[in-house]
Amino acid sequence: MTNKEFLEKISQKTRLEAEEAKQLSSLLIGTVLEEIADGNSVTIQGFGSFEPREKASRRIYNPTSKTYMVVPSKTTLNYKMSAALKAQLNKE
Amino acid sequence: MNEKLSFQNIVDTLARKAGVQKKVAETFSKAFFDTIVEAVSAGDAVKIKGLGTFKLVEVGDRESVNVSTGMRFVIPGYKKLTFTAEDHVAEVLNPQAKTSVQVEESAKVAEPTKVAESVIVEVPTKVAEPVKAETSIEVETPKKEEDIETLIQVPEPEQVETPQDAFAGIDMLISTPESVDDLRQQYEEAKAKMETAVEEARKANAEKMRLEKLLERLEQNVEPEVVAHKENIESPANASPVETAEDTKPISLIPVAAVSGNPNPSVETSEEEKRQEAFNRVMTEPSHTQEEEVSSKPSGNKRFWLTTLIILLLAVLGVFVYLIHRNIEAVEKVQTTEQTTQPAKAEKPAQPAKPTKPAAPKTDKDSLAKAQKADSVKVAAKPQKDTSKPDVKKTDASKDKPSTPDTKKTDAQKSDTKKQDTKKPEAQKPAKEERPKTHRMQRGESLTRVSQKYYGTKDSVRAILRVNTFANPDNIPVGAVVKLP
Repeated sequence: MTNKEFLEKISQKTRLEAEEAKQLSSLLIGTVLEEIADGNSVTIQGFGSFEPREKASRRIYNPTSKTYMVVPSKTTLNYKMSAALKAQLNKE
Repeated sequence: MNEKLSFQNIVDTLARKAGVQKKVAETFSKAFFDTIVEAVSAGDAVKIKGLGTFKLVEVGDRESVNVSTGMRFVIPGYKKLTFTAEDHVAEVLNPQAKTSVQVEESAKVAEPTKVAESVIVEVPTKVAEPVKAETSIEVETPKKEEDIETLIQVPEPEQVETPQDAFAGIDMLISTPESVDDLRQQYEEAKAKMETAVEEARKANAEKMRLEKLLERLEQNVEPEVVAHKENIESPANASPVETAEDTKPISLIPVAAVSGNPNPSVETSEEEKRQEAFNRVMTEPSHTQEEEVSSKPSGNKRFWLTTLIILLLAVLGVFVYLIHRNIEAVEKVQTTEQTTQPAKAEKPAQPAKPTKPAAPKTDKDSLAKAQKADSVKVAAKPQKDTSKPDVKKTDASKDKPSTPDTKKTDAQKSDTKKQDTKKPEAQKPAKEERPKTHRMQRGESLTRVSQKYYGTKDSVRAILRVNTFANPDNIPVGAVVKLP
């Protein structure tokens, strides 16, 4: 499902204008990402949780150039589905 | 920092940001996540712009061990909703973009190797360029020769092609010059035939490719010949009635000009191909066909044909001599003879040259033929020997084969004492007197080990291989039953 189809479905459900749905969606994503960037985790009940994960810096070796590089530490967005969602998806 | 935000917090901030009622924001957010779940449970991956992709992944059953009891148990598989963040997310989360830094110590090690690599890379390029140049030369040289041939044959297009039906139309054109429309019709008829001939010509193209290399070598030969050809063309045009030379030139041009457009290039190429083909044929085939052609041709052009054909013959014979000898000296001789003969008027030198040159290749041919015959005789003799040898072998084998089983049978029939006698020398080292007839392969076992185990030597592997048939004797599956001879 593409972003367009996704937004269409939401607008059908909420009876919002397509343009409005698009705006709200980008704002929602923006707020979630802001919170994550601030180091907060966001839990949505029945769906799962988004949380930042710190990836430590590490040393890598390139075998072709035979060089060692240091990859700096970074933060990634991690999603874990909720237990309720797992139960729902594995009902059958 | 490190706050755990709930759905409600997000809805509040969203409502504030968007300037919408909280209810709207809540319904929207709910719909947002519900649609993801719906789509995903329908087996669809959801791509959300600015966030990432949600996808349902099946996790298979896996085995685990209960740490406290040490019991093995199976964790059943399940479906899992996975999320892959977009690159945009990483940019948002890591505002200060850091790039990976090379470690200094290793940099010193790396530099010399890099230099070495660059050197290695450069070498093939240098090698490659001259090769390209060579290929381009190969392409160009035949073209030049084709051009030369066209130059030679434009005044008389039906020279070599007349035996082929395709050019009957052109013959007609030459004999009866009519209005342009008629010419066009006739030309189109001829073209239809030509198209069939083009396919043949394409087949001949393959032969042409082979001969291109030879032609390359013959460049030196061809160039003086071309000069001679041009001279010849000029001289007969002056000597023979002017009508033939003048008529043929415009007529040969007319069809090309009349049907301008698509067919032209193909026709031209086909003509070139045919000429090449004909040239190849002339090169490969003996001179009889050409002489026949000469006899069949119209009487008016006979002189003209004779001269050109004789020159062609000379060239062909030169090729023959070159092919047979492949000796630079021989080629030079041919060139010198040609140069001496060609500057003078074409008819006179060509005729005396004719008997001299055929003589040399004929002898060559004879010698070749003799050599071939000798080879064939040898070949004929060899197969006979070969056939005789296998027969003997077969007979030997047939004698051997029945004999060995017989002995085995007799051995089997005779009492156990004999068996023991036979086994004892084989299995001296292992004390086991009675050997099992089969062995089940175990992990890490090889045939040599089996041989060592049952026969005491590694040399019995061959005997085991003789009795058994393995897909790969070096890798026998565990549990395979091996017969023991």
